Amino acid sequence: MMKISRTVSLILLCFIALGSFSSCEKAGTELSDLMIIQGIGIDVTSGGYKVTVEILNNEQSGSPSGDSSAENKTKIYNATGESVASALMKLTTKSGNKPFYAQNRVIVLGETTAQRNMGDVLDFFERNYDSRASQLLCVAKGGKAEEVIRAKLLNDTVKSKILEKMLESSYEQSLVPRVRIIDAVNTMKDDTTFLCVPAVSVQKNGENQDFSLDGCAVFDKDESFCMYLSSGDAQGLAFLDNHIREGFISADLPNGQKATFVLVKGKTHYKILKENGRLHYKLNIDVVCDLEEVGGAEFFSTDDDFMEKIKSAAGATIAKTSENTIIALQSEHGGDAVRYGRRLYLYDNKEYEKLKNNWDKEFKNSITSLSVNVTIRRIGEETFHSKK
Amino acid sequence: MTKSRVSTPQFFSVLYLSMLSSIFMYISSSGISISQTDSLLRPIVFIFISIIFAIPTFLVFKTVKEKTQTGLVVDDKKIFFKIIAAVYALVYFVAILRALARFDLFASSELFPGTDMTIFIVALVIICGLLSLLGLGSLSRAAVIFTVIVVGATGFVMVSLWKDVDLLNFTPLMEKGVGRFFYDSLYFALQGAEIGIIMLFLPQIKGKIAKTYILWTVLSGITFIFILFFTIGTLGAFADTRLFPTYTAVTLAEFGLLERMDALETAIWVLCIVEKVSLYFLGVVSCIKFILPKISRKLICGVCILAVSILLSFISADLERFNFMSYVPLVIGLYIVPVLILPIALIIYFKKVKPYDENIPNS
Repeated sequence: MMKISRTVSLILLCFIALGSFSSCEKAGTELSDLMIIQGIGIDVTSGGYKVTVEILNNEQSGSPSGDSSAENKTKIYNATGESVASALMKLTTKSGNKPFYAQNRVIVLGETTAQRNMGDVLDFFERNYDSRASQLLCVAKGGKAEEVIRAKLLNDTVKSKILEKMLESSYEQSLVPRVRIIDAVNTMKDDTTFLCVPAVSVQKNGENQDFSLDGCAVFDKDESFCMYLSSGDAQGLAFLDNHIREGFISADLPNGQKATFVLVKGKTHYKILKENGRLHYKLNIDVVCDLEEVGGAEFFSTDDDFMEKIKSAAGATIAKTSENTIIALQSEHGGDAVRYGRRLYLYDNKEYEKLKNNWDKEFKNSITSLSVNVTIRRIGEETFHSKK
Repeated sequence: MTKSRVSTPQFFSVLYLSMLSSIFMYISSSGISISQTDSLLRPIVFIFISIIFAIPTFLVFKTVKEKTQTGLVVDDKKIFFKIIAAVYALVYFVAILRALARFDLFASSELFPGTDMTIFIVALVIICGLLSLLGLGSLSRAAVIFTVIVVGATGFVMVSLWKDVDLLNFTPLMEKGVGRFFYDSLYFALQGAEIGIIMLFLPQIKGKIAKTYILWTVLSGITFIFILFFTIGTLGAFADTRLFPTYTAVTLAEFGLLERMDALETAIWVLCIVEKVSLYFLGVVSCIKFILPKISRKLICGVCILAVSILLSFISADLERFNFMSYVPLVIGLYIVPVLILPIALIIYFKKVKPYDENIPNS
């Protein structure tokens, strides 16, 4: 009996262990019966929402001949409904297959959708079992999400994948924040922080179209759209909010020439003071970068002199970029998108509790002072002394 | 009760896996936030409570350890011990239901969303029942291997989340007051109902039990802090919106080409559930066998499997029934009764009656 128990339990345990490897939907469902969604665009219509989805063309992907030129790699469907969920469910009636959200890469909000309450739009994606918390969000600046999802790119490819890569690499280049469902929800739950979502637009490129990163859309604490940050201003977010990754900066040297640096890493240190009733954020930004290019002939007298000049130029550029961002955020329609309130919450909770109900005013009244320490790690293969 | 003896590390490996399953499938009670930094301190309270509350159990064991080798409360055939055994059986029967109901919710929400998991869960119940028939020795030896696998995989997955940790996701300590912190910590500590079942198996464990017990509570606490640090660091307040926050954090883990480590991790977590439920089954079957000595263990086990399967199918159909299994008084009862009330009842009994060592021959 013991031997039978052991054998039966071993077989069943293997079955359970194998069964617990989560798979694409229900067991026995063919991939071709699933609508494997890659990107979702959400626009507001008079009666509710219109969703446009890009799905993998399963028949083409799985064709025995492997002929990728016969059909497009993806298909586009759209449907309307009173809510995002009902619109997405109606997709089934168009394709005959059941939507599968686990592979979705990006959610594009049309400009009209962005001006609605963000929380309502995202609730479905928070609640749905398949939907992953790491999906990226972006806003279709000045247009509809449908236009982004339907963009006619040069190559027959998965457009949402290109868009996802663009958003990811822009984050890695410290150009815009990365906004996943998690980040959006966390920001919305925070009492003081405004949400910055990357904005994209579709640009003409000859006969075709390209995606273009176009700054950020800013949402207030009530999850309503309030303004756009330009691409230049959005760049300062990484320095002010301490998510410096990689990227590049161009700096003006004293002789009017330009130097370009690649950011290797960086960190922002904060000190919060209260001066004359105003909050003073003292930011110390440490960046490490490599020199990529110096325009024109070398004219500095010594290596040390040269290094100091380019460090100073790089620091000045970072400080200027960050200052411009703060000015934009402290403008009439702006708000705390750099988590100053959150930092005060952790740094001085009592002060935060006193100020949080009037945080917009406090933020706009706050002072930011920046000091930037630049470390040049490498200068490339060319010496300082090469005369041109 | 099977007579196989196990070493303390082997036995506490079973309990360690059992505790891990609680944190993997931890569902916050409404009003108790997991995303607060206080969550990292709660395991410390858990360690202290687990050590203090285990004192009655160890006192009972100290009284009778020389007089029994086959079980602590189940050697004497007096009605008092039968009542004690019946209460133990009931508590751990409900604990089985609670653990599997939670796993059912997890499986039907995260592994195969929206799917009726009845067959899957019934298969799991059968496995655990059959494994319990193999005895504590087999369970404990398997647990040592499983512990290495589970700890290795979980450590790797959690560390791979490091790049996603955002320190701004943490919150000030004891933000809602010290009283609230201790209330929440107490609720958290009650997840460790495993402590109570130690009583049933103490005579079968060889080695320095008290020392290993303290080590087990400390290691369990450290593991909780480690897992919760990465969960809070990566999810922040979002963790409070998730049914299974630890699982959501794991879904974010990536390492090179390995992008879906959650699939691997959940398969490994099943091992923890299997160990936990098998141990509970062993306890329940042993207690019933004591009450009804003429009925074979296999029959008792079969009836238990059937009863658990039927009740789980009933619970699975309605979320309200799931909620009942997380009902705070029920959670408190599942902890307090075996950990405090029953050992204290035994202490009082031995102080007053003291016939135990005279009636039971030293086996």
